[in-house]
Amino acid sequence: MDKEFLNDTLLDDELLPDELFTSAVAQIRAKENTLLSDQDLENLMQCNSADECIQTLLDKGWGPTANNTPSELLKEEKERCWALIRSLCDENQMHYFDIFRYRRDYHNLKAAIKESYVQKDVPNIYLDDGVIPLETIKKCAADNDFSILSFPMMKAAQEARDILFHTGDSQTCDCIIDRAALLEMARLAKESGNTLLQEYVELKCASADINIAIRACRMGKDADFLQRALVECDSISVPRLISAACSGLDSIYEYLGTTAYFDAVPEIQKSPVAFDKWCDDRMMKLIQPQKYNAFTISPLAAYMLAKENEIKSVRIILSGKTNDLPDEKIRERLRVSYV
Amino acid sequence: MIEFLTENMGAIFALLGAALAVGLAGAGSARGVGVAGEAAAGVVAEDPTKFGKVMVLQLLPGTQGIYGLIIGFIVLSNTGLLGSGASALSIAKGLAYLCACLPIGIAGYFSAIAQGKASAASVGVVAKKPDQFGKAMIFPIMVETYAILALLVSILAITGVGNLAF
Repeated sequence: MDKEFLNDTLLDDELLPDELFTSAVAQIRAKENTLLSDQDLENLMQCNSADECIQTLLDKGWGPTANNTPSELLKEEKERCWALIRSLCDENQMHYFDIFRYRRDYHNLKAAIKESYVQKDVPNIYLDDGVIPLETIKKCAADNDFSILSFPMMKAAQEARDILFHTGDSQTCDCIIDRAALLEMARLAKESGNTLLQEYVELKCASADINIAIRACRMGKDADFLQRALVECDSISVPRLISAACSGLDSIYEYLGTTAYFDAVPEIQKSPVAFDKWCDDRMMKLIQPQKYNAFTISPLAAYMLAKENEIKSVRIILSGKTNDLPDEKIRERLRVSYV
Repeated sequence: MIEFLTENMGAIFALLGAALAVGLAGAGSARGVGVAGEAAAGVVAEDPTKFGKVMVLQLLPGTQGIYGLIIGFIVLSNTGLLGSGASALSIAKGLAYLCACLPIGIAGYFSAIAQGKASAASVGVVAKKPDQFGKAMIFPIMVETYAILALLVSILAITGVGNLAF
């Protein structure tokens, strides 16, 4: 009765069933103080070297790790964020955060299928922190038996493997698995009933569709390929995007000008990196209202996305400083911060 | 049986009124304090130095329970159910006491829950900006207004019922 009452009368529709996350959100509110602001990122930019950046980050509470190397620090910060989320959610609630990890599993699946295709070990192609243990995925690909995976994953893996082994077409293999990953994310987001998670997946699906359409258009791929690769989503009409992609880049830009992504067109024309940044910035804009939301899983998801975004920005700065890139080159890739 | 009811129904209605005032307002407060307490615990888990501030915010939805208790005491006292034994109370007067208890019972219950939510949100403000504690406290206090209005009407009604001749 208690939660039903609160759900029905006091809260919006962004609830997971019977969940308020009151304590977790308050803890996240306190944690948000430790996120790096735009000013903090600017301070990092003012550092003369990567080592100086690392010292600034250590002063801000990052690390310390064994050797305080950039990769160690970034990994540690990511693990710390996930550990925090795990401490705030029980197993059932954590299930919804799998949305952010599915693509890692599907990436590992792609890598494992390709590794079995070339029949040799390829170093550094796998991602950690997926939902499914890496060894399980590797074994499935090596044995050509995906039956222990979820049905959508098994189906995609089998189809992608068959295509790769029969035609050697790794691009189609990638597209099938990427599409399956997005569909799985969309399914879970819908199941959660949470608006923020649905918006996150919607943006991921739309940006993937746009990227695929642009690439396919440049490479002269046909409508069948696009039909197989693109994911249905609310903000993009797949048939219209396919038709535009078959007509040329200008048609794609023209079509996108009529969608919610009209302001992304200049960035898409600039480069894939610029569009990637636009997508991340758009996501930060989408999660801004969660700074004022005292309940539901949304502020937790927003914090996690904000932290990932922050880690991305720090990685850009550290790698830029390490490689002596000009400041303006680094700045144009920096993401806007959540706080 | 009918004779027993005729003699005691007035007192039973008055008692029911007192029970509703204390029970509903208390239940609302328990829920409000509970929601605010969850938020407060979350902040203290990250920053124990904010304990004092968040505890004040947690306590705010507790006042409705106290208001209910006051009304309950007054009704029990006026009807003689507290202490020396009940004086004869007509059914009409008993019902009037029951009605007089409803404002704090109903408004206490709902306002305490709403205040608990507002307090939980204010705990979030204190977590991010501890220097804004004063402002953060205003928001849940605004909800208190309606509980006080209900308390006032309940007190006035009980006093009025006491002066009635029937």
